[in-house]
Formats: sequence, structure tokens, C-alpha cells
Amino acid sequence: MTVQQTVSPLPGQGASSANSVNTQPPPPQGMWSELFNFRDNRLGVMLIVPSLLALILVQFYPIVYNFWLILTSEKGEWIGLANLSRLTRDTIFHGALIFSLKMGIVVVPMCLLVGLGLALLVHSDYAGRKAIWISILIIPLMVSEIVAGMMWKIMYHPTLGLVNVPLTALGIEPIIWLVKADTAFIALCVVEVWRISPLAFLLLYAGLNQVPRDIYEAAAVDGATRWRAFWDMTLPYIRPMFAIATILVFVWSTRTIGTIAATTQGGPGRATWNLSWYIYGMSFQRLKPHYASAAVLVMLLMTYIAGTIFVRYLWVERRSR
Amino acid sequence: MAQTEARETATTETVPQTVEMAVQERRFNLRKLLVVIVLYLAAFWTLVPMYWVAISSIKSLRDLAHIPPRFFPTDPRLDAWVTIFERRILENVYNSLVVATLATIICLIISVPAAYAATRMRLPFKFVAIVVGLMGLVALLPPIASAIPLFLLGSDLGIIDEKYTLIILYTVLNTAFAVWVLRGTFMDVPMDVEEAALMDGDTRFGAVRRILLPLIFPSLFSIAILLFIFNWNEYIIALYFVNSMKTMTLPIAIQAQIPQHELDWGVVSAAGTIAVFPVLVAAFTLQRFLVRGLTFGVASGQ
Repeated sequence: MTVQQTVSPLPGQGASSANSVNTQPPPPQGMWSELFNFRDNRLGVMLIVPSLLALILVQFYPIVYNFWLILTSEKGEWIGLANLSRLTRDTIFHGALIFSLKMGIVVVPMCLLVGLGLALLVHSDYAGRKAIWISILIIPLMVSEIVAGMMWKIMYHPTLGLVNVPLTALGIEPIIWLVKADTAFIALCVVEVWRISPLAFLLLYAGLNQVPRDIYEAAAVDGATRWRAFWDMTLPYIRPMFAIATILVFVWSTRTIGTIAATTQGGPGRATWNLSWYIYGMSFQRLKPHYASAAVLVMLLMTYIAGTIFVRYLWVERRSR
Repeated sequence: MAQTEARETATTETVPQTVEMAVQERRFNLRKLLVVIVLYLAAFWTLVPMYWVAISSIKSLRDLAHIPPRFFPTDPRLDAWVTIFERRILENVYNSLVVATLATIICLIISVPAAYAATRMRLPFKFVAIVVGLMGLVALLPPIASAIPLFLLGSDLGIIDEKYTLIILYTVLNTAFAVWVLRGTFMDVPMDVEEAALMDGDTRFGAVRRILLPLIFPSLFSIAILLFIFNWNEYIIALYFVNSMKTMTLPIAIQAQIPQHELDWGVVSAAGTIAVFPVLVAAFTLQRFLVRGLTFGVASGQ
């Protein structure tokens, strides 16, 4: 038995010297000591605790409570997985889930394309006054969902709206967008692209700013075309931002509720019910919060899958630097 | 920095020396023209719904009924604005302001110390990593996922339809995001200066107050505005927790004003214009911070 580390600079190393000093109580072992070895800094812990409590109260408590809700009926009786199995047979839920996913599949590529295009344009030397362009282009990002939906409801209005004006000018019959299932879907996708593509733009623009300029000069000396330079140098550099943008746009577009509340209210029929609208309708309007919680679980799973990818990309990027 | 560099290269290129370069110069201008045209189109696409709402609020009924719709109102009226004020929109604005402001301030009060501790103090690394990682993940959670449990909890406690409930909930919902962003801001500031002050015998609090806070103040201000806008726009929690005029925030009021079929669009347009106004201000104040703030999260985050 040798006395090796009486004072360990890293909390993690304290675990290996459990029997070294007799005068002090042995430091706790293993993972817990790495996690909770706070003797170094009580103040630091005190500073973190309020936000941690907030996190537990509003984020973790609801998630745990959610599981309890799923496993019980509206009367509070234990019913096991009945809510979940009912959900798998619920065609309204299927419709809502498919609508959410469909919307994600359409909106994500559109937003990324629009976002990347605008980011490249604003980042190019030809765009003067970048600050003003950025300020204008990010406005939709900060408009409330409900207000965005309301604006577009006016835009789609058969007589008040602007959307039909170019169509009538081309001689096409004016379309009453929000009353038919397929046109309502297209209309909602446009609203989402308007609302969320600025997020992709902002993230990708921030990514482009990270690309060092001298690599382009080097590439130009080597005779690389602009296209090749973009494909082989710009894209790899902004790859992490691209990943983050993909996931955030996906999450945002599948969880939207205000735009639907303002425009179609889920209609016509149930054609534009998405997951959020389903959860809201089930819990608040039909007063079945326990059953709606099962749908929340599905939504959480979707977010969790997206979130894991999100964290992994962040972590990978950090380690490599 | 990249911008000034770009400007320098641009000025050196504007003096064509040979025919070849002059040709290239012209091609560049054509390219520039295209870029600017597309950007103008993008700006049009961004702004046109807002413009449309703003002018719909001052159109006269005859203009509203006109087919095809008029791009410029011929006979501007303020009727809709009078109506919206008669429907006590100012109370909703007041509710939104109070809730958003207080929630922002409280959120900063609890998240700044946490971000400070996470970046500046010796805490078990894994603990910080796990807490911060969880916070990042939590920022992704859909608010509707917490809405049902919180609503049930709120009804049990009998605190539905109270302003302070909204303030507490908005505070806490944004805390994870705030800590996450603030942490990035704090990491951006080198620790040397603070350490020097500590060496010179300054207290920790003194070092924070005299050195760190002035350095991060611009970012702090931007984050505050961002949080304010989040709270100003918040819709889902309000949907569950607002029952009466006493607590009704602006987004809920706007939803209540949306007509389903008639031509009564002036009033809701006016309400929408009020809701969008702070957003315009925020977009222009925040753009620089957002571009920078989003970058450090990925690139320099250690």
C-alpha cells in the first residue's frame, strides 16, 4: 500500500486512492465520485442548483408524470398499456402522425435549400450591407406561430389574399387553398417554409462564416472550379451546421401548432391534424389527457431520436478540435 | 472581420488593367446584379405577408371587398384600429409585456450564475457535461409535451389562469436554453483578465462585476431580447393556462380575433401588426449576435 494521491487535482482520480489516507473519510468510489465530488466548490453547486431545479420541475417532472398518465385511465385506474394499444388502432392518430412526418419530409429539404441558397448569396462578396439583408431575412423566425398563420390566412383568402392574384393574372381559376385537403397541405407547407427557412439560413450562414477564406485562394491557385471548391471545401466545413439545421427544422416543422390553429383548425375534416394538434385536441377539447399523453410519448420519441443525432454531431465536432 | 476583408478585395478588383480583366469585371457585375435581384426577391417574399397584414388593417371596407385585391389602399381608414382598441387589446398587450419582461429577468437571474459556474469554476467535469448536455437536449423538447402534466398539476394547485403562473412557467421553460447560450458567451471571454484581478486580491464577485459583466453585457442584452421575444410569442402554454381576459396574452387574443369566414379581417390585422412590431425591432438588434452566437456553440465550444 503506497500513499499515492493525497490531493488529486482531478476529481476522477480520487476514486483509485480509497485507502490512502486514514485521517479523512475515504472519497466515494466510481462514477458517483466523478459526478458528485463537490467538496472543491460548494459555491459553484449553489449557483447551478436553481436552474437545475427549474429543469427538473418543468422538464423532467412532466416527462415522468407523463408515463404515469399513460398507464392510467381518465378515472385514475391502472390500465397498463391499454392507452398505447388503443393509439395503435386510432386512425385519427395515424393520420396526424403521417401528416406530421409528411410535412417534415417536404419542409426540411425546402428549408435547407432555401436557407443554403440565401446563406451563400448573403455570404458572397456581391451582397453589400450584409447586416440589413440578415436582419430582414430572419424576421419570420421571430414572428409568433399564431401570427404567421394569421398572416398567411389572409394571404390565402380567396378575395382578400395576394396568393391568387398572380394565378388569376395567368388565367388560372383562383384556388380556395384552405378548404381542400391537398391544397391545404401545400399551403401549410409554404407557411412552414416561410417561417422556418430563416433558421436554416441563419445556421448555415453562421457556418459559412467559419470557413477560412485562404483555403479558397489556395484552391484557386490549384485551378479548382467554383463548383468543386464549394463541393469539396465549403460543404465539409459547414457539415455540422447542416446537421443541426436539418434536425432543428425537422423538429420545428413537425411540432407546429399555431399555424394550424390560425389557418385550418385541422380542417377540412381532419385532413390537417398534425401530432401537436391531435394532442391539443385530445387533451384540452375532448378532455382525455391520459390518452393524449400516449401521443406525447410518440412525439417525445421522435424528438429524442432527432436530439440524439443533434448531440452526437455537436460532441463529435468538439472532440475533433 | 470577414466583411472588411471582402470589401478590400472588392476595391482592388475595381481597377481593371487589361481587356481581359475588364471583361471579367463586367461578368462580375452581372453576377452581382443577379445576386442582388435574388436577394430582393427573398426580402419581398419575407416581408410581403407582413405588409399585407399592415395594409389590410387600414383598408376601408370597399377596398377589402375589391377584386382583385389592391396592393395600395385607396381610402385608408382607422376603423379597424379603433375597434381593436375598443376590444381592449391594450390589456392583452399589457399582460404580454408584464409576463414576458418579468419572465425574462427572472430567467437571466437564475441562468447567469449557472452558466458562470459551468464555465468558470472547478466542478466535476462530468457533472457539468451531463447537466449542460441535458439542458441542450431539453431545449429541443416540444413545449406541448410538458403542457399536459403542467396543466394537470396547475389545476390541482388551483393556479390556472394567473399571471404569476405564466411568469413562472415561461421562466423555467427558457432556463435550459438560456444557460446553454450563456455558457457559449462566457466561454468566448478569455479568463486571463479575471484571473489577474483575482490575483490582485479582488473578490470573485468584484472580478465578475468589474470585468466579466461589462465584457459580456452586449451578449447579455441580446439574449435578454431573444428571451423576451420567445415569451412575447409563446402560444402553447398560454393555450392551456389562459382562461380569461385577466391573463390573456397577445397571441391568444389574436387567435380569438381570427374570423372564420366573413370579411372582418381588418381587426385581426391590426392586432397582428401590434404583435409583429417588437419583432421587427428585435430582428435588427439581434442579427449580429445571432450570427456570432450560433457559431461559437459549434466551433469554439470546448
